[in-house]
Amino acid sequence: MPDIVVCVKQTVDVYQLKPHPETLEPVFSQAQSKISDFDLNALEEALRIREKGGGRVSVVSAGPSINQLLIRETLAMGADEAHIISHPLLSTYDGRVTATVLSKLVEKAGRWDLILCGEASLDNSDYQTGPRLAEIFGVPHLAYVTKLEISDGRLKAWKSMEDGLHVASCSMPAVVTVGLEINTPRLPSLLMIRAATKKPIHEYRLSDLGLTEEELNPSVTLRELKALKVERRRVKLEGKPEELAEKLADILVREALAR
Amino acid sequence: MYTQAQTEEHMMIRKAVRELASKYPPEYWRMKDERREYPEEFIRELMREGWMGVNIPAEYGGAGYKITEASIVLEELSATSGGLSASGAAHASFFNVTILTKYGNEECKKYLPKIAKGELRFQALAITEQSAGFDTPRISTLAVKRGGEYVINGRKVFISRVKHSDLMLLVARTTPYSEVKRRTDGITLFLVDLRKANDSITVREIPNNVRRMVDTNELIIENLVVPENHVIGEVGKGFYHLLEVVNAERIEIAAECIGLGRYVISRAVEYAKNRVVFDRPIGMNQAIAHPLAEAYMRLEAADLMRYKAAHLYDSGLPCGAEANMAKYLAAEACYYACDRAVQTLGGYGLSVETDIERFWRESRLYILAPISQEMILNYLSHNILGLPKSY
Ligand SMILES: Cc1cc2nc3c(=O)[nH]c(=O)nc-3n(C[C@H](O)[C@H](O)[C@H](O)COP(=O)(O)OP(=O)(O)OC[C@H]3O[C@@H](n4cnc5c(N)ncnc54)[C@H](O)[C@@H]3O)c2cc1C
Repeated sequence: MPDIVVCVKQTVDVYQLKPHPETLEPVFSQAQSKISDFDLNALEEALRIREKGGGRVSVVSAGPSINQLLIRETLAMGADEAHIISHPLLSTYDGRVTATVLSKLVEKAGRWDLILCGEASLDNSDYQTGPRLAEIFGVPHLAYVTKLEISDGRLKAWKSMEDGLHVASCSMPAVVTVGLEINTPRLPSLLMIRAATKKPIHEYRLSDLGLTEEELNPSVTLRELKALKVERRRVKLEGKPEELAEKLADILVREALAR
Repeated sequence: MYTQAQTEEHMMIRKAVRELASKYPPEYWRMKDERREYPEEFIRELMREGWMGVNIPAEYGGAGYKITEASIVLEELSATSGGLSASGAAHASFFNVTILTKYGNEECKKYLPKIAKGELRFQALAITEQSAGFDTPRISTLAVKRGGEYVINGRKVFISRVKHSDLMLLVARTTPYSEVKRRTDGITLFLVDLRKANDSITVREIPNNVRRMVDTNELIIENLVVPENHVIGEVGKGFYHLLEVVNAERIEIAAECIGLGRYVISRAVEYAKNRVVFDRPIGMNQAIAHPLAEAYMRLEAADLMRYKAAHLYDSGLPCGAEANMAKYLAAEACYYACDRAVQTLGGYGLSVETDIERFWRESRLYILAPISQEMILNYLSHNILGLPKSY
């Protein structure tokens, strides 16, 4: 009966982001926030483990202003409880700050055997949270996991890497990070939505977590965020279809070689 | 006071329904419409995910929500490319269960958990008869008691979803019209298990073009035997019990019209922004823009009445006038929105590939059914304004 903590991040839905035509900065006001994709895979995996072997699934989340509705949705998917902190200073953060705050929330969640995280977040793609949490708690970390099994209190993980498939195993407690391939997150069913309204969302202040504002100072700061400007070349080919095909093939080959 | 503020639950319900419906692309609905085929796969998924239990009490395995939430589910279903067919293929269960919950005996209530779980369908409601039309007390389908059961004979017309339902709420007379003191007396409600009806109900489809995916039928009922314990509510008082169902139905249909109306306007607006004729987007012409603005406004107003009616219904308060007004206003606004969307899309508005013509066809139904606009005005004139009764 492993007790599992799942870290979920609220990010801006980057698929809705468009760059400002002049400054090229992303226009955040047009995009909605959502739970980072991989984190939903992590939650789904936790729920599947619980369905097989029991245990408790807690969700933790930290951010500048956590939208309770999104957390409630993770409870509607099936998590048992949530532990969250909203603090304005968390609008600027780095991997260290995130992992520090999350580790404190994990402690609030109580006893745990497994921490599941998305391998990276939709917005920042830093790939740091999972490994840093493993470091903080001094436990093993399995990354890029595409299939996970638990037997006799040990984890067995299939990791798809560029050079092939790795199968690794470790004892618990441990941290596992997953990507989109591992599963398809479920939609909340009606009865789960109903049940979610009665599940607890524990909200903390910084002092509740034993943290100070100084500890939220990131060591890495974001200076600038701009979209790449993609200029179309607007090359127009003319001629008969056969000639056009030739010309087009030439260009494509030349471009490919130039890369 | 009622409130239109959305709770977290409402927002989660909306999102979950939208995500479920988004698995069914426009091509699916177009194909079903073309083939006059019930959206079986879609309904199965709704049932499997427990959505039929939205307003069934928790003690019977449902989610225990009320008409407000049932109407939200239907509103979201119709605000998709499935339009009023998506919602109309599913909606009867939501209003039928209200009466089972309120007036059903323990025997009848045994069906509720199976409906909630999606194992049984309660999608048919049989009121209308050819000789009665909207004058329901004039129905002549007769149920005669014989020992511990009723034997029923008669004909019904325009009864929807019979081919895709396991259970049917049947409205029949237990005392003939000529023998009652009050014309609304002597009517009784029966829960009919269609799986056991065998040859005693002949079903003949009456094809139409306003809801081609959903079957609407003539029923010839010959010596249908229904056990006495399948009477819902009091014998002879069915007409009054039925208000529970028809008020819920009107509120739900109002919500469906609002869902589709808003969806269609968003489609028209998108098109009007991008379609350039005479060197300007057509949406720059007020002749195109203003009707869309007006349709939007009418839908918003109808929505207020819908929430007011739903709030009254859910609080157990009288809501006949509000449910009727909500249906009237929403049906009108939706039909207008669809009509203006056709006009906005021009030739494409009438092309099958944009789906707008289907929405427009479908929206026509609710100007007439389940209660016509004329009958609603009759009701308001007499019951609310106190004018002499005309019907
Ligand atoms: C697609 C479809 C699905 C349906 N599904 C069902 C169903 O599942 N179950 C069910 O029981 N019924 C169903 N109906 C029937 C529907 O609810 C109406 O009750 C039915 O169409 C009315 O009967 P009628 O056609 O005989 O109209 P009539 O009563 O003949 O009315 C015809 C017209 O005259 C008007 N009219 C009549 N009397 C008056 C008056 N006094 N003052 C002003 N105007 C008046 C009406 O408003 C209407 O416009 C369905 C109908 C359709 C078209």
